[in-house]
Amino acid sequence: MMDPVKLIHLYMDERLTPEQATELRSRLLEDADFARLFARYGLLNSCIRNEFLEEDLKESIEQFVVPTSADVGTNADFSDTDQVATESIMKPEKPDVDKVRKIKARAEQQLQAFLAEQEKLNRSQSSLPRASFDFYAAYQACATKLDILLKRVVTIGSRTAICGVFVLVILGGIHYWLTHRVVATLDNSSHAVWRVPRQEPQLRRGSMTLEQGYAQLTFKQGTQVLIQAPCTFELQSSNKMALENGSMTANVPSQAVGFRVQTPWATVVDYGTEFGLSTGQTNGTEVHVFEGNVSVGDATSSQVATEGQAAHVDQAGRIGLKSLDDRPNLFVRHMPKAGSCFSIPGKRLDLADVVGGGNGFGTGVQGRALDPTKNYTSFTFRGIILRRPLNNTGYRAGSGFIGIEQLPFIDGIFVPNGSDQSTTITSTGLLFQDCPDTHGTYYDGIVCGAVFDDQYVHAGRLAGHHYETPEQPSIGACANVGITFDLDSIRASMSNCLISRFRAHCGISETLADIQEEQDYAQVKVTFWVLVDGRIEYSRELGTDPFESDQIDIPLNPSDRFLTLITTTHQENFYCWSMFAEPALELERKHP
Amino acid sequence: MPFTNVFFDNFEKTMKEFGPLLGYSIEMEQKKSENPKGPRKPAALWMQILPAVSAYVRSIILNYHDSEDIIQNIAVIFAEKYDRLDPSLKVLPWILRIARYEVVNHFRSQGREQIIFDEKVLQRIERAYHVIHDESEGIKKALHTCIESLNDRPRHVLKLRYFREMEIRDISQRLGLSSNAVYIILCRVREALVNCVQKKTGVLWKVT
Repeated sequence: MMDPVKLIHLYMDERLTPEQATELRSRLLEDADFARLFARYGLLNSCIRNEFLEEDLKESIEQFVVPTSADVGTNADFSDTDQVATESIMKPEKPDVDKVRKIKARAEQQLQAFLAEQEKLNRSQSSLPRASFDFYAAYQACATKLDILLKRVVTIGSRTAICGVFVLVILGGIHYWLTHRVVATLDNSSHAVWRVPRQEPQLRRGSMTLEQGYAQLTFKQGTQVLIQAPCTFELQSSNKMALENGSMTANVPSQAVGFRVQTPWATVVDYGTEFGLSTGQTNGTEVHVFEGNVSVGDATSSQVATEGQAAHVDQAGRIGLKSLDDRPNLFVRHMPKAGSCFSIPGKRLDLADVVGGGNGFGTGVQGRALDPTKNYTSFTFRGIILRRPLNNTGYRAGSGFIGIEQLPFIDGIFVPNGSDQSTTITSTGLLFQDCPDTHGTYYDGIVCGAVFDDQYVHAGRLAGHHYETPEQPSIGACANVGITFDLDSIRASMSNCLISRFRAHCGISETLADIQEEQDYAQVKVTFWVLVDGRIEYSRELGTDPFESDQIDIPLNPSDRFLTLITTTHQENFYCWSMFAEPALELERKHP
Repeated sequence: MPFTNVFFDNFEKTMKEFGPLLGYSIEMEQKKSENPKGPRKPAALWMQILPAVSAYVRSIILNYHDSEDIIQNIAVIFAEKYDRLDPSLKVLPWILRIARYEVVNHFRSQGREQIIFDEKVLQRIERAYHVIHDESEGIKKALHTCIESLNDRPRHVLKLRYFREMEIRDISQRLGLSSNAVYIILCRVREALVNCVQKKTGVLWKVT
């Protein structure tokens, strides 16, 4: 059996072996005296911490700055610490005899002073003339009593005032410490605009709103969180936060297991992993687990989502689990590289990225295409060879409207053709009434990144500007194709934002002139259409002789649900290399 | 001398001397808080039970941030449920039971197997805190004087461990010592404090 005190010391300094831990457990269970000793040491530890906290608080109040210099300069003193003996730990106590002698001397002094005062008073009284009624003595007595009373009043007043100030300072200090302790630091940000501008990297408990861009925080216990605007969240402690609305990803190291995020609809507890979390005021909470396990639920029920799973909690608290493959790119998992980027959360959403299966902020895949072919009765989301167009198999006939459930931001795609009398352009059955006759054929689908392949694969060019990187996005839309975006679904993913405008640059790629003879492309003409809820908001035919391009800028209302982009040509589709460059939804903060 | 002690000493002296003039007496206030059926002030009561609650939580959850989070949670529960508490119940057993639930929940959320602290063990420790609760004020006061009597060097190590919340490994790196040396210093300082506290309070801690 080990010495009980040593066992407790080992435990307190986290140095127990598994055998010693077992012994500690059994002694706590079986020996009430030992349990009391354990409790006393616990009390001692807690009191030691409080002593230092009080001391620190006192120093802070006195100096307004907590000095750390106490730690400096003492290191060298420990060169021979193994020799530290118990005797050298405590300051030597002064012998009691000294104390008694001092007290006696002090008492003697006070007695002498008192006697001298009395003597003086007696002398002054005896020198005054006596009368039948000693008016002066009565006056003197009254004055003395009044003086004592006044002194007492002043003493009580001053002591009460001092006490009041002390109470205020202490309460203020405790409140300040509780509410202002640093729980996380702001490590990095990109295009970040905060509702309340931030000056310092230390983050304390409280609510914050990121209106634009990205911010990366590290909690004191080590969890790294990437916040994507628009997002309102609250830091609650060094390992706990609440997400009111918005999106975030968290990377939780082993020492921070148990990291907790509270949303309006669920509590998410992490078991050491990486996960993405999105919540809104109307669409519940969605959790994507990239690694490890996450518990999702509330006080009454919860489920564990494992790696590769997505959990959705609706407003009624129902939890559904599905595979991440359905929506693999919903979350931005890494801070975007420094420098200019086209899409900025809270400011501008990139529709080309949405076509690539992304969330509109750079998670889509360049070169991915949506194929409106009859061959696929249900839509297949095809990842094709990057930076190559969809097919070289010639023209294909389109089918009717194809809804795309896997990508909630896209309502569907279609091949427009006026000869069919009506072209359905939305899942709700809206029609493109003025659609021209197009023969109903198309060549490529709708592609994230306008790339064309003739003699060599290359990116499209409009007005002398190449669009070839995610920072210069474009949608390839060789006529005849159409795509409808679901604006309501996009709005639901960012509840603090309004979609104010659609902007894009459209035209036929000027690279035709680099590759083909003029007579082969001079007659190419494509009409670009933009429809909002079936209404034609923009329509213009653009040609190649000379090369024409145009800027589209259409205001959008909160009630507009469907945005449709269409390219049509009445010619054979040959070299209709049409594209929408930098297609963007401009965002604005919703004012409460 | 710690700041709060200066304040409370002054306050006590002043109120003893002049309190009756103002219609206040410390004894009256003490009787009020001791009488379970009389009106109880939540803030004052919380301050009374806080040493035992924080010692209980900190002695089981050694991670500083986790233990502070749990103590905060308990404070919130106390504030929320205090009004609904049966006045005939004693507060300390109630709040220590809540502390136990919070600790168990914390272990559960971490998903790690507990070698030492299962429910039974936590109950035993809880009971031990009931028994020694009366000693807490004495230990606090005695410790204040005892810490003042520490030499600078051991006091510095103690401060790094308990105030700066540093691991033994980090302290050893900072001071250029072996981890074992730091551990020995900490043990000796704590034992010196225990001896000092025992001497001042007259309560013997050791078990055979």
